[in-house]
Amino acid sequence: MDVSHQRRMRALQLALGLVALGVLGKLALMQFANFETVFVASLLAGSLLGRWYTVAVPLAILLVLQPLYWTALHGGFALEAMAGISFFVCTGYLFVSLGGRLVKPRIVLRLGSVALLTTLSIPLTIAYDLWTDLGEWYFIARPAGISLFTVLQMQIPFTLIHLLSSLVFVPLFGSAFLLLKHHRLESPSTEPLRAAD
Amino acid sequence: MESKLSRAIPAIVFGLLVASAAGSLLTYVLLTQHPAVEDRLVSNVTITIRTPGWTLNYTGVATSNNTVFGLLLESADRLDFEVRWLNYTLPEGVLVMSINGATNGGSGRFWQYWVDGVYGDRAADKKEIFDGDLVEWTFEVPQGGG
Repeated sequence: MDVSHQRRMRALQLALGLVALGVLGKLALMQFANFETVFVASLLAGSLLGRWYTVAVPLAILLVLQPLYWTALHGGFALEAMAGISFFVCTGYLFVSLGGRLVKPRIVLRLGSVALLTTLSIPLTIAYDLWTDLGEWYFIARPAGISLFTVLQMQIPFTLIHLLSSLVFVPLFGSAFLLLKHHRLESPSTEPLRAAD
Repeated sequence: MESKLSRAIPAIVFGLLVASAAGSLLTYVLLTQHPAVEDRLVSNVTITIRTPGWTLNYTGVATSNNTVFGLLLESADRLDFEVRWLNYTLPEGVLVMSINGATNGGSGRFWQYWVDGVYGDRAADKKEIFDGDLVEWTFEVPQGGG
């Protein structure tokens, strides 16, 4: 097995780890609205792995979660009815992973990188909530005559919880996956072998 | 040469900053949660549950179920229909998912509640009702670009 194939397999393993983090974390924290791990998994997919993982990881997480969420867990939600809101959710997480991708060149095994990701997570969290609120207003609240301002006002406590989620999970899992990436993708064993003198 | 402690200081400072920010947020969220509603007797309250296909009314009752959700459950018991909901821990509250078989998302409709014509601003189990209040549960149809 050559080195580049080895690196690709290890990157894939990290990506699968992020998908597992997103799915299992979300399911384990179902009772806590907006306290979730999909955000951090999407952010790390872009900032640590980049390339096609930027899109594949969040989409893979949502492909598992969304049907599960709206059928088995919420019993009876019509899939087609949630397509509109799901669009905003999916594009929202893609936006987060793309935000991570923008800072990928600056992410190294340093405390400053974890701090950068944590800091970046704050505006990304707020932007994500604003975007999904727009979808919720358009598809659910607007037909009932509820203004966007009211929807945004009612979102405030949920966004605060979402920010709390980011502040807890981004440094925690950011550090963990950064270490994993360093040891799995950038360790000496993945460097080309040198001929003996 | 830097000591281990001086190298650890930025990590400690960062950790403390994140912990204090998270702690402040958590404290604020917990302090601003809507309080539980104390049981009180209310009289002459009415609940109307309306979909495009059917309407249920439970009118002019006196009850100690003085929340929107409590009244909904009482009417479900008296009029013999099913209510399904989710319990959330943070923020604490219920989310009604289905009433009498009409489930959120079915045909693109969603359950919302109003008290005396005012849209509900909190979880139904945190919304207190008073004498003479009219509670309406409606199953809205999105107009889709309308």
